[in-house]
Amino acid sequence: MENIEHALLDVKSLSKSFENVQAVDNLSFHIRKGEIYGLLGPNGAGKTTTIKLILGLLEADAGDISVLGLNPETDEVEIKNRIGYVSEEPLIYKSLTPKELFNFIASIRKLDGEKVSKKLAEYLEGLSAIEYYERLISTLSRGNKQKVQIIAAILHDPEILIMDEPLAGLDAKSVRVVKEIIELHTKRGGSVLFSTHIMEIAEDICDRIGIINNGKLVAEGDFEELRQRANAIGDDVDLEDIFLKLTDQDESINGIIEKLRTTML
Amino acid sequence: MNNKELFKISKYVYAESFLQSQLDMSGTSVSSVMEKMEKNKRYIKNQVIFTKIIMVLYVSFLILLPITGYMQIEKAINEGISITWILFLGGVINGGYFLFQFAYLLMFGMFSSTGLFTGNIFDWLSTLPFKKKEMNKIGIMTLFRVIDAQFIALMLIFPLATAIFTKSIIITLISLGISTLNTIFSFNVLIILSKKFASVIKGAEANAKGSNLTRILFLVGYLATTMFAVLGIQFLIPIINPLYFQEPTNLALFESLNKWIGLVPFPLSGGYLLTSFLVGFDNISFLQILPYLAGLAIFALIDYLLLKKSLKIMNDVIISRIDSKTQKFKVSTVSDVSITVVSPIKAFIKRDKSMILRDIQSIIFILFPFILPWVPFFLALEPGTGFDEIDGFGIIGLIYCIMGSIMIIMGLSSIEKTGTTINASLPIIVRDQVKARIKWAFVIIPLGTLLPVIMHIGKPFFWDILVIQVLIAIVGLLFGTFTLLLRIRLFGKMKNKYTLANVKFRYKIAKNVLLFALDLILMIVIVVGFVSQLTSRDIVEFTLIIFPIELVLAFSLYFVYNKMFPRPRKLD
Repeated sequence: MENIEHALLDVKSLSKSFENVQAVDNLSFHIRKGEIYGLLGPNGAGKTTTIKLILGLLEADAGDISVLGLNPETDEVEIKNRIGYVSEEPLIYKSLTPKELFNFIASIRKLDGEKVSKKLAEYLEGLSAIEYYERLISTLSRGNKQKVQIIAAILHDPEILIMDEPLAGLDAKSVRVVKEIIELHTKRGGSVLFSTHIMEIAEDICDRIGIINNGKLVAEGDFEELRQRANAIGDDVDLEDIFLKLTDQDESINGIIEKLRTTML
Repeated sequence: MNNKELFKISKYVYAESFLQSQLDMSGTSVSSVMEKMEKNKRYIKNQVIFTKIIMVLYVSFLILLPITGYMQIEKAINEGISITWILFLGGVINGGYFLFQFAYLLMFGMFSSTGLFTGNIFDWLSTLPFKKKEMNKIGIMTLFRVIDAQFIALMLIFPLATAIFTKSIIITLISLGISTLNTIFSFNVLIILSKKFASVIKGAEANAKGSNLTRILFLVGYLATTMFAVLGIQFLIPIINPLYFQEPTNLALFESLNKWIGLVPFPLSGGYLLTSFLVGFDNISFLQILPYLAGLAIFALIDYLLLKKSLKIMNDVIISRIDSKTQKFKVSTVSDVSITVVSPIKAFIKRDKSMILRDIQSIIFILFPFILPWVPFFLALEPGTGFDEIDGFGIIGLIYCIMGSIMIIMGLSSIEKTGTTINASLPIIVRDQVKARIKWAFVIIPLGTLLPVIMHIGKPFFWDILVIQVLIAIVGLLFGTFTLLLRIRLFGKMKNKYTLANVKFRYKIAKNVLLFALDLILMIVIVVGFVSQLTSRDIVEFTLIIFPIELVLAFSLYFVYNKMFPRPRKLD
């Protein structure tokens, strides 16, 4: 058994269903201090539902969640004071400007105005988002909206970062900056729950990976451990091959590729 | 590609533009429009048909104004009323009709056509292999699809009704000519205003300096015009028809007025020319109609110039030409970054203010509680046409105040929908969030309800009206708070807490019906209670009964509020 004494986030036997769909099924995992945990899964695998349950936005049918030793259902406000969340879809107030949004966030989080102004200016410059500071969010591109969302999530130096596809729509420079932010965050003891579809990124930055399919955790471990779990594939494999194998999509994808070859060539 | 094929393609562009208009109009409730579309594939089609039917019905109803006027003109001539007076009244009334028609078109056309200009709907089309000429044709065909029923109704209903009632070919042809000029004018103005409106509500200009004020002024003007067009017409017909038989003494003034205002190209020259033909050349000389013909000639020229301008606007939209005027963004620098931290409740209010000013639906929801309470005051202006009894006046005021308070709650609730990610991640204390909403209601409802009282300053009923309005404002506040709490109870109850977000989706329709039914029943109970007390007691007794009841209800709601949103406990 692994020692999870220092887990900042601990999910145990979590289940959630919507009408007839079992979105999360007896899911357990934990994230240690200073760790980047990748949550991988195909569309509809239950990743976003899991994140919503962790944030206390949904109520679990069964199971326990402990975030920083607190219960999301009863200590939602305290937990949110100590975590940052970047969602897959940047559903931020589109009729505000980033300036108004950051003022709002800083007020709700009761941050120090002077300190946060300095920090914000640096983040905005680092992500090349300063020039859009006073434009309406609705007029920004997908990537720039994502930058605003990322800054909003890290402005208060959270202990845990929950990031659902955080790099979607970002340019190469910004991807690099965000990766650096994540690394610095873990260096000072923070943890990251990182959900993505892009295997290279998961392979590149995650310390451990949990593969989720139909709401169940089908495999967990670092890249080497996962490769061993999917050992039937061969030596020259990457995370994408492992992922497809473990989520039982490898055969169907071969069929699709074969059909495409016939159509296009 | 032939025109038939292009017309078929324009159907898809039109559907896209209508959806865009719906999304622009929905403001913060974009997700609910998308949800409706998901559930009902015919949603957009039904909305299109519904909007067109309503417009045609309104135009058909409006036709009563000139038609009843025709009958009065004939009667007035037979009774020997002066032709100068008949000409003046007929010219102004017909002109008024044209103006109303114009206002109706703006009211029903603006929000449908705005989508053509806000969403770059022609962008994807330009990636397909169409020639520029074909693109232009698709654009014009799409515009025609947006306005087809309105166009036909505006152009033909008036001449058709004229033909039926006058049975004169010449008058019918004249009315057709005037109708054509009016229709071209109206549609060109619609395109120009829609383009401007689109810039104001969305895109680069949306956050430009002063555009918030422009947006509010634009909407206030728009709402006032359209409300007058809908409400005013019902009261105008019974008032203006008897005027034909109330001949003034200073006819010389009206004789010169007929000469000069008949020159005004829109809407008067057409109204005067038509009336001249209705009066007949036995009663009027050809020389007298010359100013009206000149006015119409100028009108035709204006139409031509406007047509050129609107075609240019359409062309720019179709080929996505960048308007240099709308591309002036402010480029911020590090020195602009300065965060001001306020209390959470103030932060919610500041956020709401910014969002309301930039969102059409929210502005409308906030403006209505200010506009609606004026209605009973206007109804009470003329004895015999409205409520000259103070109790009737109070009842109408109460109903409008309750409607206004429901609108505020609906508007403020929809604001939360766009920022779900941010709301999900912030340590929001729901008590603060609800308190901010209630604070809004506490400013808007009393202000909106009490403002119209200024119309009665110095009048005998002033103090009675003031007291009634204060009591009504309190009812509005209680009603608004009740609706907000009930809404949260139905849609936002979780295991250990309540939230403003809709988290309980099960039985959504049944819950909405329940919310509506409870509000309606409560409104009926309150109105009946008000009526019974107001009609049977004097104002002092009435206040002594109603005010304590309101106090008890206020304390009860405060108790429920504290139960639902207790003060947050402090963690060690």
